[in-house]
Amino acid sequence: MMGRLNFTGRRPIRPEDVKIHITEADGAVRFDAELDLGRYNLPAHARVFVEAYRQTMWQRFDFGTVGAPCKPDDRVLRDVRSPDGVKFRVKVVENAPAGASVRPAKILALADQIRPRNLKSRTAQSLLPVDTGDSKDQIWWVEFGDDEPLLRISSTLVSDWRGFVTTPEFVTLALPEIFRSILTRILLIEEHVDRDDAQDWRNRWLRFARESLGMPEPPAADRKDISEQEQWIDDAVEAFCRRKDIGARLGHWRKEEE
Amino acid sequence: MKQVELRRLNDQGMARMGEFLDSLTGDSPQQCPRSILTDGRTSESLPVKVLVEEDRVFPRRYEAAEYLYNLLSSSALREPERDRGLWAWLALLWFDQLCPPDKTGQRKPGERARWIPEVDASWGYYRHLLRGPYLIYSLYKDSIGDAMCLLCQPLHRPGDVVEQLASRQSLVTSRALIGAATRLYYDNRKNGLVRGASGKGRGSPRRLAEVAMQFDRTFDLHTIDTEGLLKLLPREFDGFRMQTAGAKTAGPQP
Repeated sequence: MMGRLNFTGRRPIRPEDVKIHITEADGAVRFDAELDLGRYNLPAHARVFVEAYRQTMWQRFDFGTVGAPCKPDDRVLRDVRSPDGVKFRVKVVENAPAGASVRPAKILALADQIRPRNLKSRTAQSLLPVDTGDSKDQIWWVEFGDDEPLLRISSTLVSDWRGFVTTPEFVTLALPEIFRSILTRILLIEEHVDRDDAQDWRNRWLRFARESLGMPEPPAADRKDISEQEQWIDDAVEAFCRRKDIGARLGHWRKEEE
Repeated sequence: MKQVELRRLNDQGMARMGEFLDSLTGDSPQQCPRSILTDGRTSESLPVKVLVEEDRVFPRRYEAAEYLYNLLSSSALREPERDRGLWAWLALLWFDQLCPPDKTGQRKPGERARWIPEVDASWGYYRHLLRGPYLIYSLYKDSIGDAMCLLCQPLHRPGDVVEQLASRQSLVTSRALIGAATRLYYDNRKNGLVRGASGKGRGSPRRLAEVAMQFDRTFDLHTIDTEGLLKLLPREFDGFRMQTAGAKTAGPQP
């Protein structure tokens, strides 16, 4: 897979500049968005859209222009009864060229894959979503698609999958390898180099390594020699194990077994 | 017309269904376990009563999607598209037409997501053989002719157009793009895809998805119409433009 370079001129909108909340009332799901686009030097007449999506569900809301922001009154997500899995993107696009048959409007700035805060449930944003999967042989695996990685737990082999992922056995034996597989995916398979988009799942994982584990920036991609990147991944997994106190946890549950 | 009450498979029912599907690719293929559709240990009733035609035959994904949309949207069920057990139940109900035997008599069910849907994942969700077309129909019901490139296939063989375009959320929700794909690859004179639409070369759906993904990084695809997008496509798509030129005059129809 090719590395990603941003030649589009599109500016990434930082996560701290987009706050989206969801509320559920009377069977309807409604959202509110607070956008702060002041720092991006965008043209005042550029249009601002907020889009909600989940699988084939897609809804666009017109938030006016950069210079004259205006929230639509109706911010109810149609055909959505539960906010589970709904994500948002904020798009700032040039004011439409004359006629929709000419060419599409250029995207000037973007924030994508924004998970809203649910005011009712106050669920925290997880870096690694977990769901059940179908396998009668494999207990867990990580799925990579266009979107963020997803940890799957076999519903055939594990009845309480939510509890399972917090067991000391799983945390000590599986989590470090899951972390390694994700970093390997980001650096060696996707050769990801575009660090501008803070919402991009790859950048969120690299930020976690930097900010929570104290890792330096990963070395630059070099297809001829990946040893430096492999070493960086090893170091990051070591740091992850230290942070999670894996050795002590292992000793604890092994002792309990005996 | 034989009507039965729609139910949902529970965890045990879906596990049993999984065993059955696995057995089809093993040495001892099992019989379709139809009893789990009504057995209270493996399935449960829905909060509202919905009758479904057990012997209904669907020539294409379109007819199945239309039938299921009309059935479920009028049923007062809460978000039926997110009910895994319901879709697994339906897939088992119509198993024979969703998984016909090949020339050697063998049935090849394919991956599990074709039978038990991924209701939360942002990938793989379109692969369910019934829920996939249902979601497309729900999205395009007001201009369904535009989406025929995703609905004209037989239920058991969605094919590469679906795989390439429905697998990417930003593409499948772009009316301009799906309209353009239908104009390129769907021939309404034969109610099916044009020759070459399942290829991988120049002008193929795979290439269309690649080109559209490049556009999508730079342009807002929701601010252009189908005609405009077709004009933007490189010349490698000319062959398909010409193939469907006659059909285009009437516009795509289901």
